[in-house]
Amino acid sequence: MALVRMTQRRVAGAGLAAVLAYALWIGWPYLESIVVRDAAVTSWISVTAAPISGYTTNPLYPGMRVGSDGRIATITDQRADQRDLARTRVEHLRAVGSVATQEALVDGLKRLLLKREQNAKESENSVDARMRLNQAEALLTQYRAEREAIQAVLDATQRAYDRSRALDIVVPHNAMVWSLISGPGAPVQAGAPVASWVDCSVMLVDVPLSDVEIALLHPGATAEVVLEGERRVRQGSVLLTRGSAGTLGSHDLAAISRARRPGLGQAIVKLDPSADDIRACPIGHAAYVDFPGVGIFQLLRARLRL
Amino acid sequence: MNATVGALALSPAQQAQERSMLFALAMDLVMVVAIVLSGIVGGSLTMLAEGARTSLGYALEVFTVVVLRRIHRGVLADLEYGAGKLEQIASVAIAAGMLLAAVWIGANAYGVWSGTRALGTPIGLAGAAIVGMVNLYVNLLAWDSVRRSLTADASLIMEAQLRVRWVKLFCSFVVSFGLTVSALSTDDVVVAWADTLGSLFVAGYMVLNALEVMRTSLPDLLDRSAGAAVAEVVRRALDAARAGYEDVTRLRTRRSGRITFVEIELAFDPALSMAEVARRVGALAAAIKTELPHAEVSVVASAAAPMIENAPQGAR
Repeated sequence: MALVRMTQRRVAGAGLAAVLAYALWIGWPYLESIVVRDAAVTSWISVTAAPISGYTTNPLYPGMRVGSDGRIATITDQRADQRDLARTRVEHLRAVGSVATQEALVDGLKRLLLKREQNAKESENSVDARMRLNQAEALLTQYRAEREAIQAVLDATQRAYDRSRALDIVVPHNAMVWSLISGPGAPVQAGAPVASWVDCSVMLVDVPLSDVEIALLHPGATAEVVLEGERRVRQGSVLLTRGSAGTLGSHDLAAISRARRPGLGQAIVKLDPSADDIRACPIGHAAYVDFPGVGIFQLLRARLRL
Repeated sequence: MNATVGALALSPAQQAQERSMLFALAMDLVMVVAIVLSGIVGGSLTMLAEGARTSLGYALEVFTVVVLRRIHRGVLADLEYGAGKLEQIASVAIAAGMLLAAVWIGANAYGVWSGTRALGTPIGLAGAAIVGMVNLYVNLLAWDSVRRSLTADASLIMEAQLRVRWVKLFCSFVVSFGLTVSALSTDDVVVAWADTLGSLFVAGYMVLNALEVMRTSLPDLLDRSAGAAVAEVVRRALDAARAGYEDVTRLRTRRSGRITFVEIELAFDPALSMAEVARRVGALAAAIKTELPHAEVSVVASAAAPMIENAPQGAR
C-alpha cells in the first residue's frame, strides 16, 4: 500500500491536494454558473421557402445584404407545364375565328339588305334579309364577348405560366443572408427552405443561465453587456427568459451560446444597436453579461431556498 | 474558591497538556461548525446526522477538558475518588443524546421517503460533500499520525486508539461516498437513496457507540463488580501471596472511569509486627498493580484471632 510507505508530510500534502481537487470538481459547475457567462450576440432568424417548385437561381450568398428590390433568390423552371396555356390559346384562336366568321357573315347580310332595299318590289325579301342580319349581329356580339373572356383567361394563364417559370423570393430590404440552404441550380420543391436571413437592426444576446438565475430575472431587467474585444459596457434589458426545459434553439436564433447544454436556462437580452453595429452585424460574437439585480448572495439564497 | 485556584500554580506539563487539548478543541470546533452548518443550510440528512454525532462527541471533549482544568486547579479536590464517575455520567448523558439523535435521523429518513421532508438543494449537497471530504482528510491525518506512533511493543491502549481511528476513517469514507453520490446525481430517487442510506449509516454508528458507552458506564455508575478479568487478577495475586495471610475476609472491586478500585480485607497472624504486615500488604498491592496499572488497591489488615479487640486497622 503506497500510503503506508509515504512520509507523514507527503500524506498530508497529497491528501490536501486531493481535497482541493475534489472541491473544485464538485463545486465547479456552481462557480462557473456564477462567474462565467458565455453569452453570444444573436438575432431572430427567418427562413425563406421556395414559393414554387423549380431551381434556385442567382441567390445572394451568406453575409450579403438584400437590395432595395428585396430579392434574395429566384426560383426558375424552364420545364414548366405549358398544357394549360396551349389549351387556352387554342380556345382563344377558336373564339377569334368565330368572331371573324360572324363579322364576315354580318357584312354579307348588310350588303344583301342594302341591295334589296334599292329594289322596292322585292320588299318581302328585304324583310327576311333584315331578320337574318339581326340574328347574325346578335350572334356576333355573343362571339365577341366570348373572345374577350377567353382573352382574359389567356392573359391569366400566361401570367401563371410566367410565374411558374421564374419567381423572386423577396425579404425585407437590408436584411443579411445568414445561410444559403439551397445552392445555385439546386432543385427545390414548393415550400422547401432556400435561405435564412437576419435583421441586423434587431440585436440580441443569448445568455445561458441556471434555472435559479432565470427565476430571479424578469422581462425588462437591466443587463450589462460587454462584447468580446470591446471595453465599453452596453446597457441592455431582458426581453424574455426560458427555463432549461424550453430554451430557444437554432430554429429561432441565428447564434446560440457556446455554453448551451442541457440543464441550463436562457435569457434573451435586447440591445439597442448603433448604425455601426447594424453595419457590422456582430452576430455570433461572444459576450459577457452581468445582471446587476442578481448578485451572488441572491443566487446563493435562492439556490439554498432560504 | 478563587483563592484556592489562585493558590495552585500549574506545572509546565499541565500547561502543555491544557494547551494541546484546547488547540485540538478549537480545531474540532471548526470542523463541527462546518459539518453542522452544511447539514442545516444544505439540507443533507447525512450531514445532519454526522453533525449530531460530532456535536455530541465534541460536547464530551469539552466536558473532559473542563474537568481536567478544574482538577489541575484544585476545584474538584473534594472528588477524592477521582472524576471518573463525573465523566461517566456525562458519557451516559451523551450516549442518551446519541440514541435520541439516531431516532430523529431515522424519523427524518422515513420523512424523505414518505415525501414529508424535502431533499437537500444541489448546491447544499455539493457543499456538504466538500465538507465531508475535508472531514475524511482530517480523519486520515489522525489515523496516519496514530499509525506512525505505534511501535512493536505498543500498548493495548494505543492499538485500541488505532482501531478507533480506523473505524472513524472508514465511517467518514462511507459518508463522503454517499454525499458525493448525492451531490453528483440529478435523479431525486438516487439522491434520496444516497442521502438516507448515509444518514442511517451514521445513525447506526451512533447507536453502536451509545450502546457501548451504556454497557461500560452504567455498571460502573451502579458500582457493579469490576468484572471477571479484574477478579481473576486479584485472585491470582492472592493465591501467590497465600502464605502471607491467614484468610480473606472481604474482597470487592468497582470501577470509576479508567480507575479500578480493589478493596481487600485480610486476616493476619496476630503475632506479626505492623512492619511485616505492611510489607506483605505492599507486596500484594504491587503484584496487583503490575497487571492493573490504573488500579487503586486498598488492603485492610485484621488479626486472625477473634478475641483481638483493636482490629481492624487499615494499611496500604
